[in-house]
Amino acid sequence: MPAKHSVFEGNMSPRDYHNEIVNISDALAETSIVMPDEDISMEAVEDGEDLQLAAEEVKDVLRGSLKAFKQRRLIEAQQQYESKMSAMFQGEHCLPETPEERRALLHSFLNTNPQVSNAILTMQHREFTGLTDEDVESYLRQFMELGFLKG
Amino acid sequence: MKLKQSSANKGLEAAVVTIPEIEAAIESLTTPQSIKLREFARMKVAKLGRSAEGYTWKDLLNEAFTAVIGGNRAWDKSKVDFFGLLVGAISSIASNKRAKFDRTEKSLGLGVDGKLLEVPIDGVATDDDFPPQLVSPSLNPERELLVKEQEEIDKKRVEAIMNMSENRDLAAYIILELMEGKIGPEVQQALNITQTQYETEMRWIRRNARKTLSI
Repeated sequence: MPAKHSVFEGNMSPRDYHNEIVNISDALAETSIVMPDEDISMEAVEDGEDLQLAAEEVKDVLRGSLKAFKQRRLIEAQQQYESKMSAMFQGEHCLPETPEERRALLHSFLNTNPQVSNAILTMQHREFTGLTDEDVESYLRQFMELGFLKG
Repeated sequence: MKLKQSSANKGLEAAVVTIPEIEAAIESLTTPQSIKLREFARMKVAKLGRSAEGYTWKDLLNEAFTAVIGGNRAWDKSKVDFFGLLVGAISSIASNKRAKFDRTEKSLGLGVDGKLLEVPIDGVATDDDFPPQLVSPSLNPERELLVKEQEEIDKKRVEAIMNMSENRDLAAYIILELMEGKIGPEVQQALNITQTQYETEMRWIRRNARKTLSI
């Protein structure tokens, strides 16, 4: 075995301390992964850690990331929906001018297409009691966009 | 298992897993696995040096996991378990971060993404008739100071690790081999030591290096 520290003696090229510290860190990282489970647990206990708390801290990071991911997806889906609805309302659909005429058109359409009515509207809405004028217009535009109605 | 298609699962498609499966995988991590992930991430952050800039093991773990669920890394469950998947993702993110920082540091005049930064010849407006000039590749005094500062930090860290093993010869020899980039069997072979000897010393090195380097 060579004398300790002699590895660098006589070496005239400047030492790359940065590379050395990177190599050491990588080696230590690898070691922590391959260590037996009992050893890593014992080490944590000897360091005064509560094993369950330590594990939960790690899982909390993952849970938090997943929650943020899901929220991002929901926000994106909501934005896509709003954008689609906005495009639909800006579309060139020829709707009756008054709310009463629009309500009559929707009523007529649903009466002649009960399968659509059954699939889309709730019982309350089928009775037309809970539909606002905006709901009526929205349904008409969606049916026109889907090609069920000509507008 | 095939992904159950839904907009909320978009991004996990490449990994062919569902969000409930991911949730179950998180909960199924054992306590030692969880602690190993933390230690692994800690050590990987330690190697980032100045480029870490307040980046912690939690940030690294979060970034790695987000890459997994965002679909940037596929999860072939027949080849690797969730723990192994996270280890790979952490390693990859840390290496990319380090490499990106090194590229930026080594190439003044080059942007973070390695693109040439162009500055107008008069330093004001860009005009198609005026060919842009490249920034001088020489270090400015401020940057030179930062580089020297990092070199000094790295030197002190290496010296601290060497000093910690002053009275433990085998550990010192192993550290020298590790510094050269050797690991595991390569070190054992170079020093003609058994796996048990190596593992015992590595445990000692790991624990003491954490304290010495305040990891």
